[in-house]
Amino acid sequence: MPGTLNIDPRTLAAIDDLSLLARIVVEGFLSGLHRSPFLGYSTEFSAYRAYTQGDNLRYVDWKVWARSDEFYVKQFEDDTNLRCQIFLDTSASMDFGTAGANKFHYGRVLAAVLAEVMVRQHDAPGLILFGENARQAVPTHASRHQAEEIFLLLAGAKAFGGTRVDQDLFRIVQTLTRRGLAVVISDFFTADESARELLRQLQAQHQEILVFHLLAPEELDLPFEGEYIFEDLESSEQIPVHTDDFRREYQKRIKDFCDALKRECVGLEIDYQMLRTDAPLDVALTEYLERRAAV
Amino acid sequence: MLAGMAALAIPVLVHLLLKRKKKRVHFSTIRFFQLQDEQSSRRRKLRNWLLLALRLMIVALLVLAFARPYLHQNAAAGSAQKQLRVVFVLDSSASMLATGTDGQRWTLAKERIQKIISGLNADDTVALVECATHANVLSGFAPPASVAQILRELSPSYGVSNLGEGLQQAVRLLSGSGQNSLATIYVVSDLQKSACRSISASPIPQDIEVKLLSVGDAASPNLGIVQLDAELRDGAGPRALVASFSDEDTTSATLDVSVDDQRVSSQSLAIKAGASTNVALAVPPLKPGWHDVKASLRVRDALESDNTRAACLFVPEPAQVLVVEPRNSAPVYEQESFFLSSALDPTKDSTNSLPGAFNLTQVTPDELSQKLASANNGSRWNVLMVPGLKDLPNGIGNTLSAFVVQGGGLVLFLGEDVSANRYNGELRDLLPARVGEPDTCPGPGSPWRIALYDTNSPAFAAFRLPNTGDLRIPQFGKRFGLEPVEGATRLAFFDDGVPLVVTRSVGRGNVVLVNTSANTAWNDWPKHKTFVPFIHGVTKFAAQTSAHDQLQEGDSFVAGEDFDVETGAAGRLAQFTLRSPDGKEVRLTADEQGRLREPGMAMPGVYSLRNKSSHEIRRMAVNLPPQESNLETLRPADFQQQLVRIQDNPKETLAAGLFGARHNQREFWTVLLLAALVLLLVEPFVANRTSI
Repeated sequence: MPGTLNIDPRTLAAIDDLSLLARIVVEGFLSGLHRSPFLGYSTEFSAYRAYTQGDNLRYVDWKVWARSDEFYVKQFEDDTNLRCQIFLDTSASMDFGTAGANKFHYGRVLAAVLAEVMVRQHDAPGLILFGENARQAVPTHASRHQAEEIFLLLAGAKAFGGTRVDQDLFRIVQTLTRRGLAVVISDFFTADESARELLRQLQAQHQEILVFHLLAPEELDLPFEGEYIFEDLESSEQIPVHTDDFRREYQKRIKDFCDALKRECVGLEIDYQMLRTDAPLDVALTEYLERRAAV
Repeated sequence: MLAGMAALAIPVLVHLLLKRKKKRVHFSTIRFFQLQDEQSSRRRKLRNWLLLALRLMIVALLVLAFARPYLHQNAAAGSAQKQLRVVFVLDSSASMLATGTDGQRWTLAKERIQKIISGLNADDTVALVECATHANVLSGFAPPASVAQILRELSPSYGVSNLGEGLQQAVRLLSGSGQNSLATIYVVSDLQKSACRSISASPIPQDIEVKLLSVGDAASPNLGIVQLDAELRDGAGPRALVASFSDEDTTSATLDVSVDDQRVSSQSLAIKAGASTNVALAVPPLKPGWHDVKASLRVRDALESDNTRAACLFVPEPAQVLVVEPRNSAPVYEQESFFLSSALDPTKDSTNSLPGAFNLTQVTPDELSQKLASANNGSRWNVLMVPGLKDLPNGIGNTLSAFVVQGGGLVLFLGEDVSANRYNGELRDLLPARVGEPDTCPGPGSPWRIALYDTNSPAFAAFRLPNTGDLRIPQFGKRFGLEPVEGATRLAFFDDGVPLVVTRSVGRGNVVLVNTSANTAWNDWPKHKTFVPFIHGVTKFAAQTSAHDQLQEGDSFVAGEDFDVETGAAGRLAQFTLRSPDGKEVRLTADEQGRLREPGMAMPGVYSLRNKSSHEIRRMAVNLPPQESNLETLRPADFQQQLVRIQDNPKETLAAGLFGARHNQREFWTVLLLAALVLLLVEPFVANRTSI
């Protein structure tokens, strides 16, 4: 796990340009990987793989051999061209958190960074926004400009409405016929079990799934003191709460929720990563790259 | 109270206002709150209602407390359980010594108080206030038996009484009475009008009962000596002022005069009803020293104590004056010193005269030296008065110088026979001025007169006040020219500036030179009333005796009043012995200013003060206040009418209105207030644990 990069979300929040943001993050992260044990990651190659008999010796990386005495073959983007779908939750519950730790912004940045990494690795990123309604915002395509298009759409996306995980989204999922990687970025605050159904549907479509469960510090810690009236961002329902009395119980419940989701993901062999939106993005990126390497 | 109950809306409003003030927060999802514990929700709702009920109850209790609810008590049943708090206001003035048909008022008063005390319960409490010149609390609230003991040993004060002040003290004592006691004031008095003068200035609360124990008869005929003057004053001798406070004429009274407890005179008196009369007292000549003079009435009346009045007289040792008479064989009225002797002792040999301030002895010029050398019955000569002498005995100058140097006074007159050279030569060491040439005034129509004189000098002290004599009237036809020597003082001048009186100190004595004849040869001064006081003054000046050293009346005090006895700077921190009229002696020490503070002279009579050497330095008389002789009383109904009772009305003080208890009522506002306070302490705890 490369630990040389610390991408402060507050700093990232100050940068409006998503494309610039994504490039800074990725380049910073990857340069930090230079001394990492994960040799062979390169912006020019999509991947390395071990030499097997019959491979063209033209593609053996002799430098790597000189260093490690092992034979590795460069893989070019045309060889990999993995389709990576990014599912971003755009429901109103995502627009929560303080300025530097807003879930939706964090999710957008994460999606943009992932798109940038995918493009550099000659993968084919795509973007699916789901929330009040589901739509294929950007179909997967392997080109440099694909990232720009994703950035553009991410910049204009807004969090609103409820979280409807229904047939519309499932229909989009069913269009994913080729094996690929699905990255789901959401808080999973759906009214029912529909979010879990999404994961099952994706698995049924032979997608490798990576779940980033976004939660704001306020949702995890409930740092409020005294009596409040909490209003649901999606349903506008209100409820009075004496936070001092209830905090412990709430923290237990949110933990139970996260644990339940994680168990669900583990049961479906899905990688689950809970991300606090006040935490650096390198955790997420590292998780992605590990997962990508396994595909 | 109904209006106060409207305040119950306050906690409800507070409740509602607090509710609206909760902050609203947008949250991502409320799904994790919606499953709140039903039980704790119910508990919170219950606490909310409890908090509201608590606040309503606090307001209700406060409103009820301020409304001061009470329960009526049956008066009889209530008083049977209540403790009695009784204050006796006892008149101890001199009039209480008067005797009436039922006996002495003071004895009657004590008997009646004792009777009431004996009827009280053991848990009742009694206080005793004595009304003398001031009201004194002799006992705060104590068991009846202890107050009875104090009363047994109590004597009247001989002073006046102030029942108003006594009532004030009684009200003050009773002001701490609670609701469980009955407060009563007994006024025990003869209701003498002078004692009742300020009772309306002492308001008494309505819930304090005032009962009157009147002692003495409504009408008590009385005669009294209200004033006694023992010294000579304004030409009048000793006299007493006798007053009648009776409705009938008195025809059979006798006034006795005693000096030093020896009756010296008696006379019958007849006084009309309600009148007063000045009675001249025949007092014989008295030896030098202190004397008691008492005037006593023998008459049947109510108050005997005011029938005697005392005064003290001090007769000073007369100054021993040696008068030189060159013509003692001539008829008295032709003698040179006739006018001097007459001026110094004008009442000599009178049958009804008190001794004068001067004891005169005549001597011839030849016998002068011998006379000066001998003492006069053990007393040395104080003053030598010498009219103008034709012949001065040889060596007389030395004799006179020795006399003056040792403290004697020398008064020299001039005259026709005086030889200036002889005087200047023989008496050069004594004369305050050189005697010059004789001079005669320009003409009969323009005599010399006195123009200036030093009233600061004891020689002219008699003329300090206005209307004491005009020194410009005497006329002077002849005189000598005088040239005062160094150190001499001119005390008087003629209108042309020539000195009339010049003086000089020689050794311990004084020499006074009067620039005129001792007789009427050169002046007509003896014909004028200013001559005698001038001769007295210049003689005293020469004798160096105080201007006040003459027959004087001692200090007189009023019984019952607070006074100090002055002993002067000489008595500073000195010890004295004071003897009372009953013969008892007490030792006293004067303070830094020589004052004996409140020496305890309460009993009427004559007191004697002696110094450490047992020398009697003063006598003082203490007499009853003159107003005590008037036994006229107030009717009981008039007394009650004059009492000012404080009504129960809104004008009571705020404190009394808030916290005072009323008669026959049992209030429990304190309980309500306490309950409200307890709930107020509990409310914050409940409020902090309650969410709305």
